[in-house]
Amino acid sequence: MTKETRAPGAATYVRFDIVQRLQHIIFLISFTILGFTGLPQKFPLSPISAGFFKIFGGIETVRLIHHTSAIVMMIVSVFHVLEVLYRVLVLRTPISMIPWINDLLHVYEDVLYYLGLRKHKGYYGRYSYAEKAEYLALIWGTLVMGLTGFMMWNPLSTLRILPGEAIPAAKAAHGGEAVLAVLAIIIWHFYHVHIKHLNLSMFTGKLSREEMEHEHPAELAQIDAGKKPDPIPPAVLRKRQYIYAPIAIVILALFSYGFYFFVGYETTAVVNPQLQPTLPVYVPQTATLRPTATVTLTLTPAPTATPVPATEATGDATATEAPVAAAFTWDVEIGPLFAQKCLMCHGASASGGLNLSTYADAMKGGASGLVFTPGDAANSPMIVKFEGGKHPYAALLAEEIAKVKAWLDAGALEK
Amino acid sequence: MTPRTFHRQLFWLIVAGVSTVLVSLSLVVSPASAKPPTQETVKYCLSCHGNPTLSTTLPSGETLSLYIAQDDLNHSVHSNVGIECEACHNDISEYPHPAIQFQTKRELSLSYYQTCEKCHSSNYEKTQDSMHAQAAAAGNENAPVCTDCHGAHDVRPPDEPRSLISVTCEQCHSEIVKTYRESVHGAALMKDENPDVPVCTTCHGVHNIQDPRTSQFRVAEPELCAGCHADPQLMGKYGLSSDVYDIYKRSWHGVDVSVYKARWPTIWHDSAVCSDCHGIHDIRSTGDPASKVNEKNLLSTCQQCHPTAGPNWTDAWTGHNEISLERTPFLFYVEKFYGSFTPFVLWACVIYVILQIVRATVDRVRSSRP
Repeated sequence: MTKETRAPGAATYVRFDIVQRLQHIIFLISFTILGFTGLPQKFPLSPISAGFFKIFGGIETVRLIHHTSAIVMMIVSVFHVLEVLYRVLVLRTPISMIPWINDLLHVYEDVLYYLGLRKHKGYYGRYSYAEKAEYLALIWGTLVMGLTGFMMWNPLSTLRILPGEAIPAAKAAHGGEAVLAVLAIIIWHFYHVHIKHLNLSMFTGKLSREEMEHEHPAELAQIDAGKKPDPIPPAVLRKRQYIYAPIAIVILALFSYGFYFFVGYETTAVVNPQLQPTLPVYVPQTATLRPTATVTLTLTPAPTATPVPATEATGDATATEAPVAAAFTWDVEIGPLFAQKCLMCHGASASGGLNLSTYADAMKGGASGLVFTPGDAANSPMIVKFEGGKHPYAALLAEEIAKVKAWLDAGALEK
Repeated sequence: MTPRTFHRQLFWLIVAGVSTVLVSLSLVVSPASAKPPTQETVKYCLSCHGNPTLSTTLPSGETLSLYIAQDDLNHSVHSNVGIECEACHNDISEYPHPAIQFQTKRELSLSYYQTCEKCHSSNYEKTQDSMHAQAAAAGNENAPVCTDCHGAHDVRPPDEPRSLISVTCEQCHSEIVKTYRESVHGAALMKDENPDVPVCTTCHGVHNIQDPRTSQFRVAEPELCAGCHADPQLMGKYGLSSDVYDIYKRSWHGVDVSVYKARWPTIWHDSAVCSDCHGIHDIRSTGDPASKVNEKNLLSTCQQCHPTAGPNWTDAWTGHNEISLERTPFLFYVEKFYGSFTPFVLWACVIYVILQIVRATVDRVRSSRP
């Protein structure tokens, strides 16, 4: 459909009409979104993917975007099928996208040229082998991705027809094809269309004469030779359109029905499933919980784990020489020690009238008189009681006793 | 000094040094005193409380036995290290005792267990964060306190033997423990005190037991199971695969869960975790016909979430198995195809593009030279 148009200045050649350019742009956008939302799903454990899921607010959102883009791509693909059919059936445009013997020849010539064994590249026609390969790869890819995507989207329905293994296989193929497609676009397409020579004809629709000479010389020669397809008589065109219309309608109906399946037919997994027959959680064996001393477990007597007690506080214990600091005070050492060890009894409850909560209270002593005699540890009733084994249930270590003694000897200071 | 005498001196110097160190070490390591602790309060208290008929009636009408068996104390971890009656019964220091303030037996337990904090503060604090404490805070009197699990006068090591733990939990959770004992884990524990299988506390924690029905627990569950099931040494002992977790992580279910775990641990998700298929307390060996994932039951297990799944469905689940020619030939060849076709196509592209770049560069260099 290339026509020669005279623009002011240089000659330009229409390469893609508006319909083709729009298809390209929509396909390009949906492909990019599918790639960006698909690859994180293929490699979900990579930190990049995790960040990506976070940006989109969850893997569900990413899937939703992926599915939506897939539908857009499918619509473009169906449109393309209808368009190609129109060109072939109605307009009888030569089928210029199918690879032919010529293309093999061009590859051979190009390789020789790149190796420096030939002066010129092959003389490409309307579409070079590079373009044809990409177009066929796109058709193959769209078919594989559409088919396997459908299977994964609707696994229950798929497995009414296919064996179970089809689903994991579809997943493998979908991922494999995705990686292939994305990398092929980056290597092949980006090089040929963006890097080698920035070709914007897919957006502007036009090529200059110079570009035509370089990239489609055979087509240019045809145009220059004035070879143009004969115009189709209106009556013939009308007749062909009548044949085309029902075919297009059938195809459209089939695809629409397919979309319906794609989008809303199957509920693969239910929300909030009742997963477990729930066991009653609280079913006590006896009315009262573990009774104090009567639980008899048929167990071997537990061996005593640590034979040597750490708490060793009886009066006749040989007081080990604890390192004694120059002077202990109530506020720094003794108060906290009593708070930790003694207040359970000699706290607010003041067992035996003795309250060790504060310095003042402690110095008042208990019901049987003073407990501490400053300056004379050996005769302090507390020390006498402990060392005489009269306070056996308290757990003061020998070092702690030594501390108290040192404090008493130093005058039992508060600060 | 000749080298010979020097060596001899050095030898004796080392001998002396080593023996000094050893002697001082033995002094430090050996207990300062290994005398048995005195049992005087026990003796004193048991002079009355050793009477099996001693009891009192609480205001609630319950009869409270005041008998303390010497035998229980003998086996208790506390008595053996000299911790005696007054350590816990700190409100009683003389006879006659102060009047009993409790209305019921339960009130008595609820009052006394707080003395455990004195020595076991870190475990005590953990229990305050537990689900049991939440139940207590909500007004449930029966929510367990320290003594309900550990006992009062007969506190013993809680995990000797291991199966004792399930006995303890069984007091309140008897249905669950019964189910657990029939599971592959519980049966092994009850049979020969298996040291590897999980007991209640392995999964639920010890003192800070959390509600296992939360999304956080759910999302962390695969890792919990992986703690043992991804350990090759442990699994090798029982002929089990330790790849199950890695393969799960790559599955549809696992991908969802790992994403949730990383980002939204508090949001509920339905994607299957281990227990959804294998069961919770009723986990059985896959070969066991009663197992939820036994071939015969697998479809109905899948149907919990995929209610309309047909008979082919279970084959779509490749299990926790790597792709293999024997198990999944079609999948194997699809993988193989992309594993070889993709690199082939991409390398061809790369080589072709490089050829063009080289030629274009050569041309440019040539044309720039006149």
